[in-house]
Amino acid sequence: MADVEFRKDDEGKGVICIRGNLTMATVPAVRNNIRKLIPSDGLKEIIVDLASIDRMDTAGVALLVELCSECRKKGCSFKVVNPDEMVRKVIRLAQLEQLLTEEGLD
Amino acid sequence: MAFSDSIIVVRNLDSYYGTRQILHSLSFHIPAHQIFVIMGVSGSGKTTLFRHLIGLKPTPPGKVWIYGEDIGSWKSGDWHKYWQRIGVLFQNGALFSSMTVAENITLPLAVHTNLPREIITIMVEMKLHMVGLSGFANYMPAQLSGGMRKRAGLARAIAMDPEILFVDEPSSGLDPITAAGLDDLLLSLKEALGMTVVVVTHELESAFKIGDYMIVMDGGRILASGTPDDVRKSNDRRVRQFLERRADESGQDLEAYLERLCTVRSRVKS
Repeated sequence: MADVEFRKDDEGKGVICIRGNLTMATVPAVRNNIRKLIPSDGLKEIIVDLASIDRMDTAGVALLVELCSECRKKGCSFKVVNPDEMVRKVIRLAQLEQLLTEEGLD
Repeated sequence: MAFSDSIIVVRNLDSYYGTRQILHSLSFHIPAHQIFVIMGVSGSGKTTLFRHLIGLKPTPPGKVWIYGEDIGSWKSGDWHKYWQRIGVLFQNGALFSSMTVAENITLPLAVHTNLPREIITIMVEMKLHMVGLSGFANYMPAQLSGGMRKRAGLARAIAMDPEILFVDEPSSGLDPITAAGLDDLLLSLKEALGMTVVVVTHELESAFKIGDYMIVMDGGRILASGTPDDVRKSNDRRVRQFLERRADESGQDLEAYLERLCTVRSRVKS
């Protein structure tokens, strides 16, 4: 199971928090929830906070790539933050470390 | 290593082709989230054992337990569930020849998951990149070299991030650099996804690089088992020969060889 939360500040920064498993079984529902929660425009930056992910597989990484791709199309910046070591390893396995930043969330 | 940590347990497994016995009372266990290597020369029985573990050769009850269940009592539905949890790379890649490389990798994801097409497309490209085949998505298997087909087969085997990955001779047909890259990928799959990897190989360098546990087989029997260090320390003559890549050169076998030649010679009437 996985939950999704979204918050947006006045400066156009949106933060997506995903909790639980981001795996083949949960990605379809998480993706639908993200689509419902995120406004189609008005965002300058999207940050995905993975601090509360219990488990992630390559379907989860693919979802992050899809979000990144949509952000790029809209000219919006995209960052993934707070991965734990296991999540970081999965992102590294896919050779997509460029999705990560070393910054934590304030 | 306790049995409770084991994902596969084999006890006293015999196997036959007709009346010919191929495996002789094999017993070992495969721990979860580790790389387990089955080593041996051609004809040692390792591929027959591999076929038992993936369900291509029937196993009698009371011999092999996977996820704590006796596979000898599994019905067709149990096997189908199991096959969704494992990935298998066969020696020749075993791709569907009428489908492109991308379609081959897409197939298990499209059939067994509810993932949307866009996510599947990204995953397929990701898996191709992992095996070093970016840009070959639209090739037909016949357009690829043997080594590339093998890597495409691996991309399909890992399409679903399987819990157990079975790999038959991963290095055969690959150049040394590509083979080393494949070893690194198997290590990364274990590290990142906690995959249990079962590798059949006769490549010593690869086996000792990636293996956490291993068995050495000869004539359908296990000659040595344990960690790579345990196997390296084995005093068994045939294990030493295998590790030192020597053909059998014991006096007894040479005598048997000479005897065979003499028998053959005596059958020819002068």
